[in-house]
Order: sequence, then C-alpha cells, then structure tokens
Amino acid sequence: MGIPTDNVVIAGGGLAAIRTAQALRDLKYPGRITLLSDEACLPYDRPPLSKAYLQGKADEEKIRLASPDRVTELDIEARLNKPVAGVDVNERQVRLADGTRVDYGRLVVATGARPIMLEQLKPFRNVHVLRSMTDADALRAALVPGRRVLIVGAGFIGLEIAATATGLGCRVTLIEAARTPLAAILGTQLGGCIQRWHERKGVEFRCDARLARVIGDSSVETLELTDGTSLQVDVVVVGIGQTPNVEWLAGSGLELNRGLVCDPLGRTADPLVFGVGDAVCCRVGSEYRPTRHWTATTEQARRVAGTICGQPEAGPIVEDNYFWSDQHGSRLQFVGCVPPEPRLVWVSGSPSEDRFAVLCCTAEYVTAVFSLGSVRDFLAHSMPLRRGERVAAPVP
Amino acid sequence: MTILIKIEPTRCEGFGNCVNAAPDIFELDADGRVRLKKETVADDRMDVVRRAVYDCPVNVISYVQE
Repeated sequence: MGIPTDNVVIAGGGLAAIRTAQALRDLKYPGRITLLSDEACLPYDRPPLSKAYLQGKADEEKIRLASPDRVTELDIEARLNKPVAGVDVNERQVRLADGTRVDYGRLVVATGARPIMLEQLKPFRNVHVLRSMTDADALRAALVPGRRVLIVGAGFIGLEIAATATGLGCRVTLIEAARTPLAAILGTQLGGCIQRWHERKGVEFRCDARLARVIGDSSVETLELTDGTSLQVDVVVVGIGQTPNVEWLAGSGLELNRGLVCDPLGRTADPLVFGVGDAVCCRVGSEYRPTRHWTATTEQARRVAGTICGQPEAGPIVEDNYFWSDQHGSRLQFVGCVPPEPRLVWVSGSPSEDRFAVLCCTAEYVTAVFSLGSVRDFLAHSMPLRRGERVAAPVP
Repeated sequence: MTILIKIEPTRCEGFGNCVNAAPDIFELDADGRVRLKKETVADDRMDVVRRAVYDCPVNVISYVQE
C-alpha cells in the first residue's frame, strides 16, 4: 500500500494535532495537511501552563510546540479560531462553527478535552479553571500576593497550581474529597507523603471534604465545606478532571464512549477517521481506556501517522502510564500502577525528606515507581517497568 | 543511508524518555543530562529514533537522514 495523496484534516490545535502533522511529514506524506484549531495561536505545550508560564518565567514563544517558520517548513496550513461543529462522514466533510465546510481525505480527531466545572460555582466571576493559555493568563492576573486562593481538587493540576500560587505569595488551601491528595493514583500512604511535603511548603489541606455552600454576590466570598469549616476566599480554582471534546461528533455514526472510541493504532470503525490525544478513548479488548498522559498522546500521533501512510510502526504499543509533574521547584515522576495496600520500599531518601524515590510492591512484584526530586534514581528503577518487564520485589 | 542524531544537552531536563525509547543510543550523564552513546545509527532504527524525538518534552533531540 502506497502513501495516499489526498488531504489530511486534523481537527484540533494542541500537542496531538501538531505531533500528528509532524509525524506525517516525517513519513514523507505528500498531500495537504490542514489544522483546524479553536485557539487564536499556534499549538503550544500545556504542562507549563500551571508551572513556568503561570509563574511568569515562560512566555508564549517559549512554550510553543512549533514556531511559525517550522509550520511553514512542514507545509501545514494552520487555520486558527476555527472551532469544529460537526462531521459528515458520508460527504467526507467537517463543518465549522462559522458554517463553512472543509473536505477531507483522512480526518484526525484531536480536539482534546476541557476541564469539568462545578455547577454551583459557575455563576461567579472569581472562579477559574486551567486548560488553555487564556485560562492561564486570567489565573495569573488573579494570583496577587496575599490573596486567599482555594483550589477544589488535589490532583496533579490542583497541586501544581497550589505550588505556583504559594511561590507567588498567595495563601493557598486545597480541598479534596478523598482522604489524601492523589489517593486514586498513588494510594493514601504516598498521597499522605505528598500532602505533608506541600504542608511543609505552606499549603493547607482540607481532605475528606466537599463544597457544601457557596456564599457571595457576583464573586465567591465564603465557601462552607461538608466538614463544617467555613473559608473566606479571594480566588477559586476548580481542578477536578476533564471531559473529552467530542460532542461535535454526536450523530456522525462514530462510536463515542468517554471519548472517540479508537483501537490502539488510533483507528475508528470508519477507515478514513482517526483519533489522537485526550479526545480519544482507546478500546483494548472489552476495556475502554481514556488517554491520560502527554507521552501517550505523542505515541498515538506517531501510530496514526504510520497507519495513514501505510507504514504501521513495528513493535508493541507502550502503555507504561508514565507521567511527571513539577511542584515547589522539584520534579515528581511516576510510572506503573500502585496495588491496593502496597508495600513501599524506599530506595533513596525518606518520606520526611524533600527528595526520595520509592518502589510500590505487591508481595511478589514492583508495580510502580514514584520519585520526588530524584531524576536519576527514578530512571534507574523505572526503566524495566517502562519496558513492560516484570520486576521482583526486593526481599523485606 | 544512516541517521545522524543531534542533541542539545544544556536544555535537557532529564526526563529519560529517550533512554527509555533507545537505551543503546541515549544515556543520561552524572548531572542527569542526555548524552549520545552513538551519533549515527542505521536506517532501520528510524522507529525508535522518532520515538525518542517525539517523546522529548523539551525538544532536545533532532535527526537528519544522510
């Protein structure tokens, strides 16, 4: 099978979109490539938005995924401020919100996800979410030294914003419905370590608590929690998860289930439609897995480009569940899956220190590695897991 | 044909995604920055070279086909 010469339309303008376009050109795809982005600027990297960009240490140019020159060099037509509104798979056309239609030979769905908002906080002016550069600009303007910032949700985004806001001189409280931050990913033992580390840096926590009542006029002034506490606030940030942007595909005949359903090669049931990134839910056997991480997206982009060009990539698909975060000037890294009631083996540092690396073990195997400020220890212990090898747990 | 690999170690942040993709080509030095074990590899390694390039969160790696 040769490389098709019709055009590829990529709906979306983030990491998934630009990496797919780059990979197509790397594979010598000769046809037209059109990016349809709902944003006003070229694709940028989102992880810095809660860190260096929010701190004011990186600007738009620094976090770009491709410069205007590079986009020209790759011969990619980037159409900005063009949100998609629908698709007609029989006519092979994408419908834009402004009513125009764009013909496609192949369509790559890379419309990403958006933050989930709490209904009860929607009407208020001083409530923020963080996904786009526009969101980050608004939040940065609100993070004035001395302000009381309340963050709903102690997941990675919440903790990153907490660290940045504390560094900017704000007084930060995180509220979390679970017993500790990151409990669903790291378990409560490691989650507790992360909580105490943040507390040493000045962040306050209210765990096992939810919002009970919101008091304020146009801005939230007081939040009452289910544990009975009442907090005066200046700024509220909601970081409780994301939902895929796939409503525009409803009624198209494409299967949706917590995202556009694709196989591990990014293919849908329609041979001309593919999916990459946070908009995708990958079906493996009878299981549906939403895309969650940066490296999973880059992996999918390469696979989809290979499939489109008739050069499917060899080798197994790596699903190592790797991710990183930067908080209080330290890098956190994680790979694997923490078992219920894990046995924790500290390979460097200790829970009370600001740097450590720890193995999470079942009775027999190491199933996850987590590190704080210990890049080399993480690399040494995480490599076998990232390659999918079984690692025997150290003898207690 | 061969692939010539280029790196910019001063911008490396030590994620290790390249080492994970191709441990025979990339390694981290004592400061946790990327170092090449070899500068050129054969064409049939293109998949892993691309993987290292695409998985680098700070765009430190590039390549040319010679």
